[in-house]
Amino acid sequence: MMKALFVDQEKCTGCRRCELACSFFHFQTYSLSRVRLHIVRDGEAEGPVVCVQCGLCQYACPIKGAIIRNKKTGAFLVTAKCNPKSCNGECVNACPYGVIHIDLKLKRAIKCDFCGGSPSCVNACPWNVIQYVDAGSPYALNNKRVAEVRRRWSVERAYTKSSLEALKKV
Amino acid sequence: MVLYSYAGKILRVNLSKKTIKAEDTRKDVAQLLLGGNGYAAKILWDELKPGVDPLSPENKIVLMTGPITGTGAPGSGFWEACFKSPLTGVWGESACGGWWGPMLKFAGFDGIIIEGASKDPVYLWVHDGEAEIKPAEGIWGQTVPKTEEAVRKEIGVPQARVLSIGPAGEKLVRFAGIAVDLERYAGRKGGGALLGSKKVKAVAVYGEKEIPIAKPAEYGKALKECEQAVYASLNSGGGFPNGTLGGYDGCNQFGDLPTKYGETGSWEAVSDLYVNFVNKYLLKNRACFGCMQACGRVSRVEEGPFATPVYGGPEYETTAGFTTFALQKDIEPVIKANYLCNIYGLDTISTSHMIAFAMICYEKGLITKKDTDGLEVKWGDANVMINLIEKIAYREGFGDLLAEGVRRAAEKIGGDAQKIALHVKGLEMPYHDPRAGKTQAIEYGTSNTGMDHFHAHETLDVECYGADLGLIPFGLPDPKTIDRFSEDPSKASIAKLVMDWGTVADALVICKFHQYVNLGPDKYAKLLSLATGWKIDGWELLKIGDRIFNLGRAFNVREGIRRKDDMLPPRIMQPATTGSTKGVGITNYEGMLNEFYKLEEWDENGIPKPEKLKRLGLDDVASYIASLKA
Repeated sequence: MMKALFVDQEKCTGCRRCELACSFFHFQTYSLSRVRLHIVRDGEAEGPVVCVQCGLCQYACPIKGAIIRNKKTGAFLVTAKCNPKSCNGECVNACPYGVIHIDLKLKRAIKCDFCGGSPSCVNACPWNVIQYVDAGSPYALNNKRVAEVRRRWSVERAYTKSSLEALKKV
Repeated sequence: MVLYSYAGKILRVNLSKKTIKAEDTRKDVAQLLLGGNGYAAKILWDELKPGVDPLSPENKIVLMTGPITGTGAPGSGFWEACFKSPLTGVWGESACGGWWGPMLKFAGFDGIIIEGASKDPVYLWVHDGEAEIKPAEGIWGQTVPKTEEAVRKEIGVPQARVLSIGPAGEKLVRFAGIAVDLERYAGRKGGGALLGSKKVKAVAVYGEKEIPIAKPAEYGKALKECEQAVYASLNSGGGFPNGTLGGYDGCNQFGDLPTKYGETGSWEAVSDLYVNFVNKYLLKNRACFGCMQACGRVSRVEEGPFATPVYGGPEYETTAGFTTFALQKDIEPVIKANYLCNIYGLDTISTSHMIAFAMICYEKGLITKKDTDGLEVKWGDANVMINLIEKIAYREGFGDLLAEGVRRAAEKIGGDAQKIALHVKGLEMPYHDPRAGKTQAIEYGTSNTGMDHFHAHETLDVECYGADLGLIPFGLPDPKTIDRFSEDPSKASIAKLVMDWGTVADALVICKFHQYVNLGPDKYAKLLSLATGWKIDGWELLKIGDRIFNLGRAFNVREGIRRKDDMLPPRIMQPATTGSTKGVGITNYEGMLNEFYKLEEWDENGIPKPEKLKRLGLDDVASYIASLKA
């Protein structure tokens, strides 16, 4: 079954344990996290921005086989063929979420690989903001969550302006 | 040589000479005093001359992280500001959460020493092992959010973390705080005024450096264990997932919520305040770096005279200060008042304290409309509160007097004002009532920072709320067996243990709320050992707490502090008039204090004995104290 990460930004507290867990799992350093947390004040959403495995990095990559898709999980993986010297970091430029990086030490691109099937960010999140779910279910989860939040607060209170705009499209 | 888990460098910024130097973090000092308030105490003991004016260029401010800051350890998102306090004139320290501390370490520094004073406004930009002093004329006078925005824009790094002061710091309001991200504050004791006196508007930090860990794989495992311990506690109702304001009703029931400028410890009128806040104004929780508890609150008032934008707050202390302490019963004015304090850069505890102080002085006729710029400063008047906050921040009219803090203001007002004023060593009383748990009285009296509930720890939490802080294996009696109203001198041993452990938190630079969630000295000692490669256990950690507490005391003794300065204000010792502490006063404070002195090995005048200081490894401090006696 193809998998996906479901992010409920409304719940995010900004603790960055997802980033920490991601870094520790892969490199034991903080800065190379593939999860990115954009915290913007007042009127904007906040929460983790994760790789949604959209494949734009693969599309942009000029080296055949440097980024391949794991058919089981649906994650796009960087292979040993990746060689940042022979490209201009097209994958980084193509990523709309800013979640793929070139690691100068490892001399290759790094990106979310679902930690081989048990994502560290999901395990680390204290507030269940990031969930590892079947690829088909985020829409259902999203609708359920919207209903929950509406019961608790008025929509205007629960959602910031930008997310309200997004809601209209749901 | 790698000093594991430390960044290895400390920045020294001299604003008079406009020089910046990166010094090595000293291993001997780190092993003796860890980091945070310990390391900073050593710097200030060595480098400050006794008696310097806190607002003169001779004073220094040390912004410090600790050995496990930014490593993912629970509660490790903190940093400490240490200085000689402009408010009290003695040892001053403020702890603050958020992300600034870890980011300083990722930028390659364990701390920043700021000395001298600049003629023109400046801000510091610290990034990737480098630092610059940059002009700040354009942002001088701005509020905190505008400052942060302008600095981030100018340096071009939106992810940078910015510490800054508001107009209150610039105007040298003696209790101006240091803000981070408009929601986290190194609030108390006037660090903001000190930065203002040095003309430092902000310190921006960003970096991506690694923090070397001695045993990374084992450290990761130990982190996992700690994480599980925290979850276990949170799942069993411990910790602060409801924020500190979640404890408001409990404090009210225990008589721990100072009311009407400390006349009593509870007020029925506010019994539904917390529920009202959650239902109407709370948007979500927010966490500091790496925190699982996320005690921070995000709230706003949408419309009306107290409308605010979305921001971080309010906490328990702020709410208590702007409600019961001043007999005001609504939450909306609190959210507004908190927001204003945040943008102007004011400590909410001292600000609300000063407003309630003005109210009681007005009631008793010690001040009149003539003194208050025509304002009727009546109990519970929310509009007066809001008005006074701005006056204090800009030192306008009556606000100029209040901006001096309660000790100086009471001296100027004269008459009975000095008898009424609630402070120890010049620091205004925060919002926990020592009549509800008598050990708190010892902490208020002997804390190095003055009447302070959280440096070194909140002992009321043990007596009233049954927190064991992981200290039972280290000699703490089962909290359930402690009689909170007893004033037996043996209470001094509880105070000593809890305060030493609290001091360790400020040296490791961790959030004290993580001492409530199954993380005792042993767990942190294990983390510290694996991170640094040193061998250290829980007992050793407590000894370090003892060492730092006594170093702070020696600093204060050098500034002239003696037993008379450890006395509590009479108003808070008088019997409370209502609630669960009705009729309860404090009658044997001196008995408890004597016992505390004995345990600390201080002489009858409150001076640490040189033998003890030597035993703690503070030889030079011991020699100074010995010379003082001779």
